[in-house]
Amino acid sequence: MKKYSNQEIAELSQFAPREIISKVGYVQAQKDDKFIIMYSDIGKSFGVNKITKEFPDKCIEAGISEQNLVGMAAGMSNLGYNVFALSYAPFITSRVLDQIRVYLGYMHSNVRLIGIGGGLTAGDLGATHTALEDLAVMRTIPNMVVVSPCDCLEYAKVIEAINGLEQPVYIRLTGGKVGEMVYEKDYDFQIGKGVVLKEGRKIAIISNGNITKEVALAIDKLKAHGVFPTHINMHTVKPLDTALIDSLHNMEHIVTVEEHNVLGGLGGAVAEHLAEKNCHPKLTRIGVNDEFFKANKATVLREKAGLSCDKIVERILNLK
Amino acid sequence: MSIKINKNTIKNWSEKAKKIRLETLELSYRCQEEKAHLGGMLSMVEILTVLYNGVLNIKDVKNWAHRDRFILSKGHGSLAMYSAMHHGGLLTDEEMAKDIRGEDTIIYRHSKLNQEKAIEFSSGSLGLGMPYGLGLALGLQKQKADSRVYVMIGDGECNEGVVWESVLFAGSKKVNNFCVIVDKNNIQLDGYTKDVMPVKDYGEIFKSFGFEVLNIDGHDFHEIHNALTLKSDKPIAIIAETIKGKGVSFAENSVNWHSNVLNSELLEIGLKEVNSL
Repeated sequence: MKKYSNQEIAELSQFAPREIISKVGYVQAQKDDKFIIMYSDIGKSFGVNKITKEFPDKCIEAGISEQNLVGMAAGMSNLGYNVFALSYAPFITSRVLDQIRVYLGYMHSNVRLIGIGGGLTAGDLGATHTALEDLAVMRTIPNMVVVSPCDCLEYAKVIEAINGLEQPVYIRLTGGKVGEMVYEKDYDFQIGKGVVLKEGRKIAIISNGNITKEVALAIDKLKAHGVFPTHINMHTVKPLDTALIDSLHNMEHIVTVEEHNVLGGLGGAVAEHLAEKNCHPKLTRIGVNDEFFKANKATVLREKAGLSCDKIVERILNLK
Repeated sequence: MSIKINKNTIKNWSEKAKKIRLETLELSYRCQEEKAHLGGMLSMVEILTVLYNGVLNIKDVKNWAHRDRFILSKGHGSLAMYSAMHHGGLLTDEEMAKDIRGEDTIIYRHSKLNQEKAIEFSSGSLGLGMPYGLGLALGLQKQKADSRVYVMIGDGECNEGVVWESVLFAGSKKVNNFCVIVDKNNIQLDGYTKDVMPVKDYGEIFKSFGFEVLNIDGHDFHEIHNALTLKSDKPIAIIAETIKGKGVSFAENSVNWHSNVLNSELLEIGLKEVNSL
């Protein structure tokens, strides 16, 4: 894996998450004959212009037709192409779930799906554009790798790590703003291996995606209350790092925090694993409580869902 | 692949078609637990015969990656496709003798992708053969392969919206190694297509999306061969007028034989009728 200098990390922090595929993809397009990037009238949002200009043969504009997009991606993938298919998170997952199930699952087309606007990121555009069920539905596709990176550095690492991986992958992007970085220094990244961001005691908070930054801030605030939780960045929801979860068996409480429905996502995956143990720490899942929100800024919706820094602090202090 | 057609070719194809029909009936007879989609299998026998015995270039193992692809998107007709592949030299007697379910077989009622055997698609969810075939066509073009991709869909299947997403893309981007065959047998599960979802003229629709369109008699070998081998700078749509259940009197043009259980008595009648064709 590439080692990132502090300067390179600072450069990555100048991008919004959705633009990273273009930066990393551009490098890949230069060296990979089989690299193909496809999108459904959303290339501009991903900033693909540089790639389309220099490598027009490696770019496919499918128009607003995600079902056709994923099918074409699957066909090309089964001919040996390294295909990235891009759209908004709800439209590259739930909208095309049958396609994903059949092509990527059943037929082993190793397409890389990238969804922007995961979680509440695009809340201003309304519930159609928020993806609060994508992790849940993607987890149930056999063989699928499901990743939710926490910042641009991790996202770049994901793209590098899946190079040559003979499995389909869904990369969920959360956080729309520039500069929301969790990592300031390079670290070891492996698909399926969670990262301990902070060692603490009694309480372990497991998060992923952009909300990890809020959790880190919440943990800082909790110090003043004499609460020192462990913090784990569980970037890969599938395959889940069950060994890391098992290592938390002496904790009193495990708390999952995710920008997703509390059903079926990170919290669901952790709950499923814990439930099969004879005894395990108490579990609390923080996330969206199985509801749709009316359109509003992501920050407002996070507050409503109990996902803001202060709300997380409050919830942790009131754990029973 | 292009071959010259003479009297012998037609005779050969007629004999092959008969064998494919007989084998399709035998295979359908194995489907006692769940109804067999006999009608839509028999409607495409002549097209399958010509595809696997004179059009598809998939026998040159050296150029295997660049072979032509046939996608049976109306995958409920897979048993007829295997029979055609068997009589086209692609599947062996042993493979055809295996079960239609379970672990140790490759001839499932809905095809399961098996690239080494040129079974190109896992079918069952209607419409999905179109984008997948289009992706193969784009990939083969990028590889500078002289291969074509043929996707067979049903007229009932044309109800699926994704079909038209693919048609829009293929037509507007002139994907000219992509050929769609519509097996227009005029019946779908719930009834006649004219009652379920009447469409005046599929050819006109494809044409308006930028396709080269050929309306043919889907049981006429000359017309089928001419259509399947036509080259164009546009994608091609072949609207093949066919008879559902063709060759077996009780199944011909019968809504009940979109899918039904073929019992031993009906099997005997069917075999007898096909033998006397």
